[in-house]
Amino acid sequence: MCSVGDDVDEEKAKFMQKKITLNFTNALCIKCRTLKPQVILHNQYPYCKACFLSGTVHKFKALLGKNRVVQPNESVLIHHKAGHASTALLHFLRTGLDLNTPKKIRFKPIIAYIEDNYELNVEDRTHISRQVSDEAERLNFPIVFINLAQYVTNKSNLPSIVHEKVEDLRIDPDDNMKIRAAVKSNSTLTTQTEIVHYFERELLLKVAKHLGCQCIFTTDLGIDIASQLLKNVTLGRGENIVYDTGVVDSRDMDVSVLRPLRNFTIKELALYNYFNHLEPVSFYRKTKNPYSSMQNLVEKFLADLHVNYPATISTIVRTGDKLGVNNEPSEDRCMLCKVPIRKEIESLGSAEATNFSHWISTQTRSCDKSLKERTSQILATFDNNKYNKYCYSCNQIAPYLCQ
Amino acid sequence: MSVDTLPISIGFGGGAELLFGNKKNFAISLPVQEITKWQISDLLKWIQDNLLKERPELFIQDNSVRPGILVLINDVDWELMDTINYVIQPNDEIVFISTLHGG
Amino acid sequence: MSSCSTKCGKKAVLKRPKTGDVLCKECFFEAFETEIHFTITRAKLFKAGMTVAVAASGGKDSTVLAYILKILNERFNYDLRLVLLSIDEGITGYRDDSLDTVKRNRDDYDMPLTILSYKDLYGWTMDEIVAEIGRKNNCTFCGVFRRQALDRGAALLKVDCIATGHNADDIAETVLMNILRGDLARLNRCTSIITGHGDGIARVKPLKYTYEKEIVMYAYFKQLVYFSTECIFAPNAYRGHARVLLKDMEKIDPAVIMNIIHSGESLTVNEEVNMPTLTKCSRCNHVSSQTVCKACVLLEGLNRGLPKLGIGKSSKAKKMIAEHDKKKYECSSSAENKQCICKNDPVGNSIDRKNDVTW
Repeated sequence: MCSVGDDVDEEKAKFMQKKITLNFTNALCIKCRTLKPQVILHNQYPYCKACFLSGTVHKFKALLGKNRVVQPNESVLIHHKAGHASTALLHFLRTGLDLNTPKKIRFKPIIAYIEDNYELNVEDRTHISRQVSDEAERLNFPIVFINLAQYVTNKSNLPSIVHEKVEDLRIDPDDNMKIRAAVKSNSTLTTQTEIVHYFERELLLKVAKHLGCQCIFTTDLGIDIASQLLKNVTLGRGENIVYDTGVVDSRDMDVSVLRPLRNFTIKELALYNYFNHLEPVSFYRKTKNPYSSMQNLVEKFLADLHVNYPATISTIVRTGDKLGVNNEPSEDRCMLCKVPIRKEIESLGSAEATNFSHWISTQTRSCDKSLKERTSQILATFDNNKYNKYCYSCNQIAPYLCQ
Repeated sequence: MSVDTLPISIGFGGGAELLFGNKKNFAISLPVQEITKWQISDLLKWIQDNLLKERPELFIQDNSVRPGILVLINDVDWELMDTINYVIQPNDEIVFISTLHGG
Repeated sequence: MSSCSTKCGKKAVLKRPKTGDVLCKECFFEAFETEIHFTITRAKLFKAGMTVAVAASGGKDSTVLAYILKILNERFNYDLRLVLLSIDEGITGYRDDSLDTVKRNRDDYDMPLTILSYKDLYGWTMDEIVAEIGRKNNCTFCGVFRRQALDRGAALLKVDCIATGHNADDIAETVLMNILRGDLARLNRCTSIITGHGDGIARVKPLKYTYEKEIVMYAYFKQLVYFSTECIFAPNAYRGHARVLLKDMEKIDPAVIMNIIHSGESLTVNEEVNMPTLTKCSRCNHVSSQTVCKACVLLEGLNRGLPKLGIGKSSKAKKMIAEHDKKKYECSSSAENKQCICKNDPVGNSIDRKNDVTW
């Protein structure tokens, strides 16, 4: 049966808005309505330079104000990822710290740069790290450097691999091999990417604790949130969406993760940097083959879709904000992603159906029994294995960890 | 007295300069014999032929810039000014900011 | 290829996308059928003695569904009475052939068949509707009308539930689409294997965990006849983007379909979000979230020559009707001293409006 017409809901016909070309010849800034606009956001909203800049700073402060996860005089770890977002974030913080008003920022940011560009050559990686160091210095922030590959090789001695000077950061040509060695060689790129992602999160949390920080700021933009949400859906991580994409991630008892840039687009921050005469740390990223992993495919899909349907990313982010999880959490947490493992639900679910398929596909049938008897036996002996160490999705990748 | 060139300045930022030998600013005089009215689309072809050092696909796509490259004309977003059809005026400053480079 | 995962010794003929196991033909048949039986019993889709209408379109999903339900009903004594229910949208070329297939299903499976047409129910065929409104919103009409037609047909036949052929791929695609478009109401419902009980006749999806690829293979090996063509009016819908993404992802890892369904099942919408409440249409008594259901609004639009009525927000529909009435009943003479009969009744209050819709 044709299902195209199913897309229409009784109340309103929801269609994604295609990109529209508007005429701005006589437009004025929609905020002050006095000056001619210099910037246009989301293909629809024109702003003059002053209103754009003040609006951007205000948006940042509003999110911080609304989510009071940081107390005055607390230390906050800033996860630097080299690029427009990181530069803008540092500038927002510096401006906020230098204020002489009651609204001044009172927490203490420390930057952490996790060197994870093991796909590039040593020279480029060193150059990028130095640029990050220079940026931290220019904006007057303390910074530490850690090589992810070193952490993955030896997780037990963290203080020895956290460096305050970029010169002490060891970058080796075989870091790529070290990362690969942490995951079994028969795993797919999708699985490897997942596992490395969790190592990085684990490292970030440990560094935060080592430096006495109770909070981490990430540089995730709207597109990163939307991308993470879709990736979670495709990997069976519906339960993680609330943590991986929300404003605050409080999975860890001691350290919260805040995503202050989640309502920004890269265009906004690139223009913010430009008008403030800031140059971000930039480098060539290796082109990713979109068909080599689930994550790459989702990223490409989203980037392409957004070009023709500019409301895509904000729609997905807003959808994510309204989603919660379906059933009661138990006390246990997944060993890998630390999400509370859901209690067993009574009704049939996808996991059980898959388990049953696998069960029935591997049962040797005795041909002297009738079909009905065989079926009864298969149903009777089926045991839906419950996960107690890992959540549904981590359970699929756990076998590929080299412990 | 007739004007036989169109003087403009071009700037690259956000990592776009990596495609142009790491140079951030160019003072250019565009020839007006064959093209009397230079539009941005013409300028892009000219940049590809004369300035671009490598990886054209990171800068140009079809007859426009690749999605992810922001363009400012005299500090104004080109989307407010008809993008590739904008007719370039003498002494315009056209800046290309990449959002594709970096983490 | 290798030998069957069940170690029965026979050569494998397909690799199961869900789990990667490889099966020979016979073991595949058994696994395929038993899994659907497992879904039906584990999710308690049917009760003994029920009459079940299989929504039959002549396509692969409904043909296989009808075939399987018949087999399982007999093999495991579900004690169900199975009937086929088909909807004729009145699309020349598309429907004629698929209805022939449905008639063949009736004969092959020995199930009674009822065909309801849009013409009988609403007075319009899709061909006529498209001629009237063009091809921009025709799928909206068809979808709304079909949904209601199935319900009306089921009520007419006094069945206890409707079984549809939605498969795992359909559901995964719908989950993706609803996330992309932010359709929270649909997202909440689309992974439910039983929908609509409480507001009418329940609909069940016995093929919810069955992959489309396996449905095609099953039909092929069993030589089941079905009809498969795209509706000639179907446009390049937004759903196409989700479909392409799903197909690309399936190539990387076929388990993605079960993963997406799992994600959909574990998500719910936070209570603070406004969800529509249900009532009954004041004209046709069908379940609706508005006082006049969507089908009635669309029909009203067709009959009055207002093709946009019902497309978009329902509040606009009221406004359109009011404007239309104004034009229809108000005096159109602009003369100062009217000499027409309207001079005593300029807004036409005395004109009989008993055939107009009330809002």
